[in-house]
Amino acid sequence: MSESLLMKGNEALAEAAIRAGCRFYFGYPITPQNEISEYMARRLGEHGGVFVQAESEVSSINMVYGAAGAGGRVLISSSSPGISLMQEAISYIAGAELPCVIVNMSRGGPGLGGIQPSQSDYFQATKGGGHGDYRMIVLAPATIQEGCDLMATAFELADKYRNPVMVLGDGMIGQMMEPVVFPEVLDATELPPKPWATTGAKGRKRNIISSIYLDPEELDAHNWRLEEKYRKIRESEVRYEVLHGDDAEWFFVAYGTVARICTAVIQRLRKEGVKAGLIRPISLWPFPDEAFEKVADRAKGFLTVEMSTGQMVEDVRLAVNGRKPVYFYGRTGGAVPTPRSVERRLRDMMDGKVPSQTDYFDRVGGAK
Amino acid sequence: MSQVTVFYGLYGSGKSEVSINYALCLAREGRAVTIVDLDAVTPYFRVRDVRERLLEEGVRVVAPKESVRHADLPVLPEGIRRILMHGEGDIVVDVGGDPTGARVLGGLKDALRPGARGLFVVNANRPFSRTLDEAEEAVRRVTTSAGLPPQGLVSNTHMGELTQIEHISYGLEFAEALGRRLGLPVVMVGVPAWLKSQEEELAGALHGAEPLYLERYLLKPWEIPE
Repeated sequence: MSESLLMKGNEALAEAAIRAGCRFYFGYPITPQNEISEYMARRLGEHGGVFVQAESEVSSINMVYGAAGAGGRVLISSSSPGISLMQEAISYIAGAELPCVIVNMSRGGPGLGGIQPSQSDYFQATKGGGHGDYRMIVLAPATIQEGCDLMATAFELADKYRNPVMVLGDGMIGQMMEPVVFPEVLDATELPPKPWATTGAKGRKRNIISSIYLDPEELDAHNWRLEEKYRKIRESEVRYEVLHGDDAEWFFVAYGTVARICTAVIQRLRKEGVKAGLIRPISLWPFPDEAFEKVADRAKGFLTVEMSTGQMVEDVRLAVNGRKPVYFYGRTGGAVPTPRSVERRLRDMMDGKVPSQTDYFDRVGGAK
Repeated sequence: MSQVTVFYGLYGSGKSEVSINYALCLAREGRAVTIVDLDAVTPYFRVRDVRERLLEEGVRVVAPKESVRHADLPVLPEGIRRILMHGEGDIVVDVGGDPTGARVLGGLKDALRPGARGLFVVNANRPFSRTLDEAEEAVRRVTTSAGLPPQGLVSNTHMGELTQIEHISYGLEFAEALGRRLGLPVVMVGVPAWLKSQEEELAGALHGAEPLYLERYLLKPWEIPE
């Protein structure tokens, strides 16, 4: 039979992590990402790995700090409120320059919110959810297969830049099933050595993992050295996909689940002769400004669609830089934009109208 | 004769779609049908999410009440014992996945009418049921947790929208081999409705087994028709 498997996003990301050499997983249960933990609990031991369900999110992310400092390929997963609890340690991990991969299968917020899919953690993920001047690479898959591929990329980038990398999905990406094909299990002994890791100092100078710099001059130097690393990441690690970039006039901008919805709408619009296209950021940080450079002259307008009240749209406005109109349409809290409502916004835009930014104000009246 | 049919299996084996399609199939034959959403472990893609569609076709839906539909708690439908014991007509029960989900049924087994049949749904393209050894262990763990010995298997091997006849025939062979190990018949074969047109190939793949043609009801947001 074929090598394809039919997998839920959560299961698939877990398997992809194992195949990418991940041998340490720490977590604490939260819907809608529990299949990651369940899968790891069953499978990681078969590969000689370590699975720990900690007593809280705060504990689990600090276990990540420890295992990453000791040189492991480490995965942690949670969903929005759980990721919020981890922010302090993520800042420490970035400050101490440790590699790890964090999966956020986000759900509706703020607060306890709900358990249905959402994209309202964009700010938290891309603008520094914790304290201090740090950046985190954020990768957003739109299919289960892409999630698997990006999981391998995430571990590579984490090690390469010694930086936390987030794979940002939403509950829909985590819960839906699609066919996937996996690469062979990576031979973890062939990974590049980590001479900085705390692996036992016998016969060499000891390594210290820390994010403490009490001397302002030292901390200033540390921050600018980090910033130089982030500049290199901005230069080299931008990822995106453009649909119909060669002739589109009206562009949707969307990532993850919503990009799938926009793609379905584009197929329908194209049959009716509408030149619609899509810019789909895959790396949310670094944000793919260059995708907009390529099309801004020809484009008549951009419609950003998100499962939030408008977060990524701020980066879209910066990238478009006033050259063309940028509009927004969003649903939140687990309400998912329907293809019909997305199409209506684009048609409004084509008619020279300002599309209403959500169905809520359509119903109750109020701000555009 | 009215019948209680319980579908159980691993996560993602297709229990909910099989339950929905089977219930609609019975309803279209003019039978009185109740579908029971007993899934207390899955947050998305559940029977309760297509309640309206089922009601339209005359299927009675027993599910946790609307106010707790999205609660992150294992909520059971009101009056579940009474319905299982005394409900009129055919009853189709969709149980949550894995031994964890099946445990809910375990707590209700004294309410099941004598003659209730447990059917184990298996998709050989899913993790933890790709080999006969794994699948056999899955049947034992799930049905033990449910407290209801299985009376048959439902072959539901597919590959989503990439499903071909070969998946159906491979899945049926797999389920038959599993059935021989466990002494169970394969009572139904899930077949995506769009494969119906390939009559000859399908007849060859089924070699006499009973197909349950499956329309998809639990759709992803971009698949929802206008």
